Amino acid sequence: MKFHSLTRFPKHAFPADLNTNDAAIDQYLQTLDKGLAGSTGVRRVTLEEVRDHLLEQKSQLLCSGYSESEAGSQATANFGPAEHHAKAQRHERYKLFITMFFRFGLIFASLMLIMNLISTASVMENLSTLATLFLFNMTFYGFFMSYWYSFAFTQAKPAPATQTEQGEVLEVYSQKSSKYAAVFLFVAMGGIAVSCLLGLFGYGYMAASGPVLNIILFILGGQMAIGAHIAWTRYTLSDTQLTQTSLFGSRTFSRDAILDLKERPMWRQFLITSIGKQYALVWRDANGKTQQTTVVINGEMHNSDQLVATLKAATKA
Amino acid sequence: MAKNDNDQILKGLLDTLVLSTLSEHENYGFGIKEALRTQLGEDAEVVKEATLYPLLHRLERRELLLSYRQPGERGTPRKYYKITQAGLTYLNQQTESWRQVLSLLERTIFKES
Repeated sequence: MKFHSLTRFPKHAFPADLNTNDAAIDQYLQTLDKGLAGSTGVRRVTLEEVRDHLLEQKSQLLCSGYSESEAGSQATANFGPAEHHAKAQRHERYKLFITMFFRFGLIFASLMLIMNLISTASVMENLSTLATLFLFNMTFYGFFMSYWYSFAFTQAKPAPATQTEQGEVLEVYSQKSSKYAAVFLFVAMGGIAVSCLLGLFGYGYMAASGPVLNIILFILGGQMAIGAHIAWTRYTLSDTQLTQTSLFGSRTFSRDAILDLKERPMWRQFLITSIGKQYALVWRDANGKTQQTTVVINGEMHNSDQLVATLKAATKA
Repeated sequence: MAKNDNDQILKGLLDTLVLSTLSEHENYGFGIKEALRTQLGEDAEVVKEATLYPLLHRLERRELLLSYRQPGERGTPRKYYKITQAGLTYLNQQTESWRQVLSLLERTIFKES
């Protein structure tokens, strides 16, 4: 069994809606799909890009006098061997997996180590246990988070821009399933935060955990529970302004005043947890002073990639 | 010059050529290839699809490009590539390097011929 087949789920089958009714192109896409790594969603991104190229090429060849069947075959021949493209995608995914394995694993294991150090009476005596736990946490968490990130997670399908009186507006919002997940997260993480708060005052099953651990878990659980509100946050981007609407209110930024969109550093994202990537929206206020506002954007939001690309490209050096 | 030598030189230029195309406006894979064909004519054949897509993905990993998908005309989303500020800086540096190479050639080999 080839390693990449272990990353293909929930099913190995070629997505039927990508069929083009051109025998040569369909055969090519199916061969390519067999060599790709990742879930159906991850493979789809590559397949859709190749499909789009092949159909564009075919149209061009038809215009230049090729017959229907010749055009499809020629388009696939020009594109090069399917295995070459599949291999490039696999290498890309494996490289991402290894990078994220160390990133996720090291950060999580370090956080757990800090918690263990706080609750361990004699550090030196328990050194080998702590080291074993560190390695276990790093491997276990690093593997699962990286596996999910590299082979399972896919950007939400893009939605068409909305036509309004102000022109075309890009809307960035979460899908329904994300909202259900957010409710679950709010209940679970809120429950942990409340248990730790009660534990701090000597009540409930967290009472024996000690105040430092309870404070840390209360902060983490509380942040995650509050962060779940991102599923109800909506960004609308028009030619003139960016509006952020959340459960806590609405804010509008003039497009002309936006200077940059910068990714917050990784360590900060772990200390101040949120459900999505944190960015600093850098903008200039009415007095010409530079301001920063944290915006959280996640890949499960429709059109979030386009929003990030548009705002980052607007960077004013 | 032998065709293979010519290909090697052009391949060394590919990153710069693709970034230069995208500095004009965002584009998708086939669109980039067509833009290069318009500029390079027959020589654009060196930018094979088997080279172009891994190159685009590599530039994206280096954060010189960003990509996003938009609803496409063919029922599936179309992936667009957009140059970043870092990409523009890199493009300017590369352009300057190639200008220096050209200047050297003009003062030596081209002058003699």
